[in-house]
Amino acid sequence: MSEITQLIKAGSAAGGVSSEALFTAAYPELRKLAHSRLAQSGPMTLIDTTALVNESWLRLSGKDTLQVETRRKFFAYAAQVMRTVIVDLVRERQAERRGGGDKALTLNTAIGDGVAVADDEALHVHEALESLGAVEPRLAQVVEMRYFGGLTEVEIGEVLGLTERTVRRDWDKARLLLAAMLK
Amino acid sequence: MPSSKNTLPCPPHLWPQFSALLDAALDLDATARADWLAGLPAQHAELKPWLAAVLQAEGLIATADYLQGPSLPASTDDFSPGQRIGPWRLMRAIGSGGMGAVWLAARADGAYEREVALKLPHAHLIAGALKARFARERNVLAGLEHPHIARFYDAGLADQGSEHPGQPWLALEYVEGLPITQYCTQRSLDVQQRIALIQQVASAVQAAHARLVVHRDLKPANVLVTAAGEVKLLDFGIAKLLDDDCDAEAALTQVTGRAATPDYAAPEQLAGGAITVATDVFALGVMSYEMLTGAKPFAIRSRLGAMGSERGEAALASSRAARAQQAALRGDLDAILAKALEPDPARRYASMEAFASDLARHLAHLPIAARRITRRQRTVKFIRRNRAPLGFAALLLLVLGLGLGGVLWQAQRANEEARRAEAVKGFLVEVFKASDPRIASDTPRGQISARALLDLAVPKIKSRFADDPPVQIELLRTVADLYRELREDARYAALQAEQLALVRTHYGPHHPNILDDAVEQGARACAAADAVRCTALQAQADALLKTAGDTSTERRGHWWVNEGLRLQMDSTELPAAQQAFETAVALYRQGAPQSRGHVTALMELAGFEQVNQRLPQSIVHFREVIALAMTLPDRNDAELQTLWGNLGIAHQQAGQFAEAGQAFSQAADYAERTTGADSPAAWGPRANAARTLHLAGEREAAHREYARLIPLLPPLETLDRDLATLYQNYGERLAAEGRPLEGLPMLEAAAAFLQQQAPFEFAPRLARRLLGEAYVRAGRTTEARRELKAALDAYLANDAERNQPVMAVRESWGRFLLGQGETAAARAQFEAVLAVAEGRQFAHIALAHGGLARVALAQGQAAEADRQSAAALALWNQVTGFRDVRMGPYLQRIRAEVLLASGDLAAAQKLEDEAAAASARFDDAQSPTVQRRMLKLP
Repeated sequence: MSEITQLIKAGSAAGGVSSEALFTAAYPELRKLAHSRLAQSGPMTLIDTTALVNESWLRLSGKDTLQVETRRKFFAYAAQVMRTVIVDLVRERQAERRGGGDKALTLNTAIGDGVAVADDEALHVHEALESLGAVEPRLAQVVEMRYFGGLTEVEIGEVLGLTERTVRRDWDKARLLLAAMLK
Repeated sequence: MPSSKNTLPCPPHLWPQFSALLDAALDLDATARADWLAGLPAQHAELKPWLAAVLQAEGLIATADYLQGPSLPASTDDFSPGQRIGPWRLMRAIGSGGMGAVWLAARADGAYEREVALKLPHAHLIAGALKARFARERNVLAGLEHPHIARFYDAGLADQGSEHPGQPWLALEYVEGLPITQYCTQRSLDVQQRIALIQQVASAVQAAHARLVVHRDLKPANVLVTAAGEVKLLDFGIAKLLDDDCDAEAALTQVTGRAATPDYAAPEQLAGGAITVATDVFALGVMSYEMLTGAKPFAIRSRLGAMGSERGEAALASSRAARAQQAALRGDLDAILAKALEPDPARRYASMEAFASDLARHLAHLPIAARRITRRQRTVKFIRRNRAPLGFAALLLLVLGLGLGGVLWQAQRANEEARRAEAVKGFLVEVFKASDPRIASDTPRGQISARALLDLAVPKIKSRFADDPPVQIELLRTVADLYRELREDARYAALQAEQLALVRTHYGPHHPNILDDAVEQGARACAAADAVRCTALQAQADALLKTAGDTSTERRGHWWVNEGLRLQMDSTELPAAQQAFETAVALYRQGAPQSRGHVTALMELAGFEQVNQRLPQSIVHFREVIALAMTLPDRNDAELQTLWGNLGIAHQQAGQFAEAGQAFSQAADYAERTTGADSPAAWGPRANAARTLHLAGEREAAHREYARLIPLLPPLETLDRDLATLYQNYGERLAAEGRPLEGLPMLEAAAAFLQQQAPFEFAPRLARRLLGEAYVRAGRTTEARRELKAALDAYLANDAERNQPVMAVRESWGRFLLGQGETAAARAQFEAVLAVAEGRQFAHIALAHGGLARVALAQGQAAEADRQSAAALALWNQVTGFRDVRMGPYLQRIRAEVLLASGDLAAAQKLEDEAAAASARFDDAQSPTVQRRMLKLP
């Protein structure tokens, strides 16, 4: 039985999972995975979080067939972990670029500035979620799972005990609020 | 690290309500949300701006890809110097971003020497089917050759088996330069140099348009200026082919991301509407605005959260520019930028060429197309502007090219008219060519004032065309009209008389020129309120029109307008006056709906109704005439300004502050557009807008307007009628918010002036009432008693008891007496107000009830005090017509006193607190009203 599964089982027995312990165990694994993935991807930088979480799940849970309940809990935590991993990676990459002596641009860099994904979007989403979580905890959780954790609407519904439709409405509302905050 | 991204889109204490309403909005169809927001009940007014700001982004959630997932910044070690990408060798990185990197590169095979900027978009962005699109786009861009467009050399994909297999690349001309706005600032360019740069941009964009390519993302970062001052337009990355089919469009959009930079995006772009050349016109308009004023035209409004594309109109450029630039922008450039920034693409310049051409015309001091001005007005505007000497050639060009256009056009009608037109034209050429010995020798060569030329022309008309009366008549009438426009009334009258004498001998007594003149003379006498002459001339004109058998509805309509003016001078004839104006309107509506006379008739009718307190009808007619005046081909902006201003006053009188404020700001915009922000014509509307805001309790906004206006005004020592009214209103507002000592000097000066020269019959007594009320607030009771009593006597002598102004002055006087302890006399005044209340719901009636409650309290009549104070508040909540929000807290405090006297401390303190809170918003911090009092049981 893998470390993660043990933790989850132990937690359940004690009336609740020690998220801190789970976190500590999952973090290095996910981070390592993310790094190796990104190194392979060349110029492509969009992170396929869904694949990362699934793969890490397979690795961490070993060959045990776990109960659905445990799997759900893991996904919720994995999303949290991924958030930390990604935020750290973005910060690292930015520091690297600053160290690399980026100069004032003499040519507009954009092959479209109004582009789908901005460099530091992930950081901004992370910051905005901190405020949003205070007033709309569920929305913040949905965003965390979907954006950072790469979970599908069905999966999020399962984890949070919501219908798929409610998740979609939460997601739309959260994106609207984030769009206003990220402006 | 503090970041704005942490700021919630609505303050936390409002969140639960905000969130629930947002849910409701999201349940609606996207198209229904704007209406839903507009129709939000008043209790949610506070939430409206927050909701609007959030819903603005709803376009984003319609697409699945917003916040699709996190991405990492491209790592710099993805590429390194010396690596090969296609035929290029990388030299050094010059930029990177979310979409990819840009490197300085050279041909690896040395095929040519020039270095290029090599764009390296992330491969995944140009995957699959999009490759075909990529190739096609390459061909389009390669065709765009223009000195001010950065050249596109080539594009391709790196070979399989190379270091970056499949890496797409685009080779572009490498431009070293500064973004255009930065260049302007760094070189401190003057307005003309900035315009010259804008023209370069326009020519580049025009070239792209000629190849059916719209740029769609014009912004300073995409327009660089080289050290040599050459503009280079970059980045057709999201350009669109105008003839593109849908699929290609969708593909391109995917490649390039959604919209352009929102600051520069046209409304139709934000709303997802059709993209045309007008989209680029708008963006260049925004950029030009920024270059010329240093400010972005929409930043403030859009942040306030107007829905989606409804950013409204941009503020006039000159009003946003630094003081030193304002004069240069006022007028033409204001108009040009306003036209480029029209929210409706159809009303914008139809092409870059038209935009550039207006800029060129402005630089050459030629009339521009942006303002729809008739030929004659254009000529007159020109001449008026040039009473001082002007360039001779420019004058000649104008008068010939534009002033005579009408004559030349008519020439096609008949040979006789053609002959006449030729003669007129020949003559004017000669006049303007002549070097006349009488022109002072110190006049610079080639320069002469337009007025001097006109003076020289008159004797020549007479001598030269003595034997050609038709031409002489034509010329005399033209020149007479020009004098009238120059407000040289004596010269106008003299020439007009000569012209008519000629007409009479040549064509007889029933020629249209003579009939027109008869009606026009009546108009002048009636408008000047000269009752005797007006009556006589109207009768003469009537008789003449009848003998001549004249059938022109227009001329008869004009006569009826004059008749209305005549009748309204007599207060017993008011119903007949109303009928006269209505008859005039009906005649025009039937016979000449699209005429200037129709505008005048409607305007007089609306004005009449306004003065006579028929406000709803007046408002309807003002709106009708504004709509009409805007569609006339010879739109007159000065007139529209007056109309909007009057509409604003009518709304203000009706207590409709929001509508009044809108109307006044329209008036102010027109004034600024035609004459500039610091011209007297713009002061009135701005002052009215400020006063409306202040009356409505929007104190901060009102003072922002005043802060813009007051420094522009001449000092109190140099009052005229308009200025006196303006200072009076400002002083009155200062006194009303608790700053009587600051308001008094203005009120005193204005009152003294208005006793001598009154713009309106009632102005002297109104001035005394307002001055008296300010004295009361300043505690100067002797002067207060003198002024208020004099005002009351004057009102009673000149106005009817049941009219609102009389009720207002009675209530003021009663309130003063009460303050002096003269309870019985005060009571008589309040009762006199209530005696003529007739069930109406005027503010001063509520105040009179409040006064009676105070009287009853003083006399220990608890039941009566309770009844009156409750009636006062009840009525106040339903008041129609004029009011000042500050009356509310006054009435609440009376009620609080009554409750306190009856022993209900809690309820009394609650009302007192409400009153103090309201006053804190409405009044100056120094005003005694803003103090919250702790009440104690007696």
